[in-house]
Amino acid sequence: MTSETKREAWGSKIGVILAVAGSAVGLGNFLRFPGRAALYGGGAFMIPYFISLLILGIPICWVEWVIGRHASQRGLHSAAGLFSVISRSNVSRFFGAVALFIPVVIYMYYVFIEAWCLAYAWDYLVGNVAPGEDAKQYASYFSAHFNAFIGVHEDGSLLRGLSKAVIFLILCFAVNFFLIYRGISKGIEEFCKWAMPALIVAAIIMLVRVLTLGTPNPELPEQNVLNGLGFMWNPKAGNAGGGTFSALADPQVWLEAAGQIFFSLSVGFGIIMTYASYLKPDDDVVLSGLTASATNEFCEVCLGGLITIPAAFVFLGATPLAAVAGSSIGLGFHAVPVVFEYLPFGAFFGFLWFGLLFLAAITSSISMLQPAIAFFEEGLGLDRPRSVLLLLALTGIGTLLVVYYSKDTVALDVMDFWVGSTMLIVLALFEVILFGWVLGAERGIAEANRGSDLRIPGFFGFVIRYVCPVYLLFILGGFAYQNFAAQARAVLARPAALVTVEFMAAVFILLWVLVELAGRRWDRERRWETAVAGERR
Amino acid sequence: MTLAGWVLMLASVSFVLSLTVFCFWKVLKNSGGSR
Repeated sequence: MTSETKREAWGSKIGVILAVAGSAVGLGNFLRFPGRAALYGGGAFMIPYFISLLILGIPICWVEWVIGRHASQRGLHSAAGLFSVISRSNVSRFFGAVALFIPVVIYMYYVFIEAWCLAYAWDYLVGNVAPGEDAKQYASYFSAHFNAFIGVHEDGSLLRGLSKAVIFLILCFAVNFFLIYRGISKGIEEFCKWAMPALIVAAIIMLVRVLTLGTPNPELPEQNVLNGLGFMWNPKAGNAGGGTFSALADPQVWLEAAGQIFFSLSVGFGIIMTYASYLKPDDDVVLSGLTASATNEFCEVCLGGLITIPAAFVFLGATPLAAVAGSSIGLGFHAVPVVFEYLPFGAFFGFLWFGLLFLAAITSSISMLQPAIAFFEEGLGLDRPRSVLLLLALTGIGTLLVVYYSKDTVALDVMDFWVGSTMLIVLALFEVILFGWVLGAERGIAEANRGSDLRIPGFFGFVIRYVCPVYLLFILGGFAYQNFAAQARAVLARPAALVTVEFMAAVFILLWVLVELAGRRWDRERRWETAVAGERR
Repeated sequence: MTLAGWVLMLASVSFVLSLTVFCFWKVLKNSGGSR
């Protein structure tokens, strides 16, 4: 889209809210959150969880909404442009490249997981799920089926012929790029306006089914839905033992809770600010941001928190569940399918479950594509078809690498760790510093409250300026301490991991160069000269 | 379920549900749209 092209915008406030909520709501709401909460303190986990929501998650969401709307007054929508409006510097362009790199790379493996959900939903719909009559073999059947389906045993196995995983992957690519081609309002907004309600309705049906399970097997009376809820919500003692709420003395619990909020709300992806950049200058951001966050929390706490663990507990029992609860993949694709074998109309519920996971995934994946489309259009002057083709080629190569190096999901795990976990925190740290210290917290809060239907209390300026950076450094430090050494060793030990890192480095360098070129283009176009009074240069 | 489990579950679900309902109520009440 050139500067002469009609400017895209959201069609309605509900539309942008559902789109941002769709970006945030994903598999993590239904698989990661329940497992983390159950393993790290049970119900006690919710205390650091809600504290993190209030002083980390929601403030950073507001930061992204404000940066997006504020800086879009230059007609820019990509992070490199948005950051440069606030502070034109090499640092802004560097982090603009980071904010472009993160969603593009996450898409490359996330779409593969999305394809798994779609494939499983299809299999349940057409009756392809057949673990046999021996209930003792269910768990091993589903594990073996999943591992074969995603090519866990051998690199390149999915590319010999047209494997089912690849077929569904192509389908997911087609749907994602069709929607992104149609644009913000006709594509993303229209899709999210029905996909999000459909997802929530499906989840509510699952919730009712789970909460009415009672005690399915009279021979195992302890495996009932109330005990299943207790497995998730009863506060547990910390690792060192102690009283009911002793888990709160464990820094690991705080780290996990803060991390869950952070990843759940999809902050630090560079997506929310791109979405917010399609708002008008006086459109509300505070209430919209809070509503999108609340919708995400509803899906996580009220739905995910009441469905997954109780259902798995009732049919698997405590010990097998504890073994998989820490792994979203293990819980979602090994354990939960076992549940459907015991349920009346299990195939219907299996279709519903994986169908809602697919909707959660695709509303997230389309959001990961928009930042790059915005950048290619305004930074490189490409029209929509060329931008879509370029992004298709780039993400296609990356996803091919993920699919090829499928053995032990090495490529996927490497991308997820270094980009999908670590870099998000780094980008979020830059954002809060840009907002709190460069734009200025007071000015930023005033900007947020302009046109808003809800006013941000003044103390959030202090929270964004001082508390958020310290909290983010705590998360980053804890994460690095626990994982960096082992992850670095793993990269050096496995050729597939090293190739993946090299590929990511090449993609980042490419995007960084393109961002620098775009900066010069914007200088030539004099994008900065319609400055609002007081803007820094 | 223990008493503490019930309290934490009901308080968490109630808080989030209330916040979500409040937010959507306010959005729909103020809705002029982003047109």
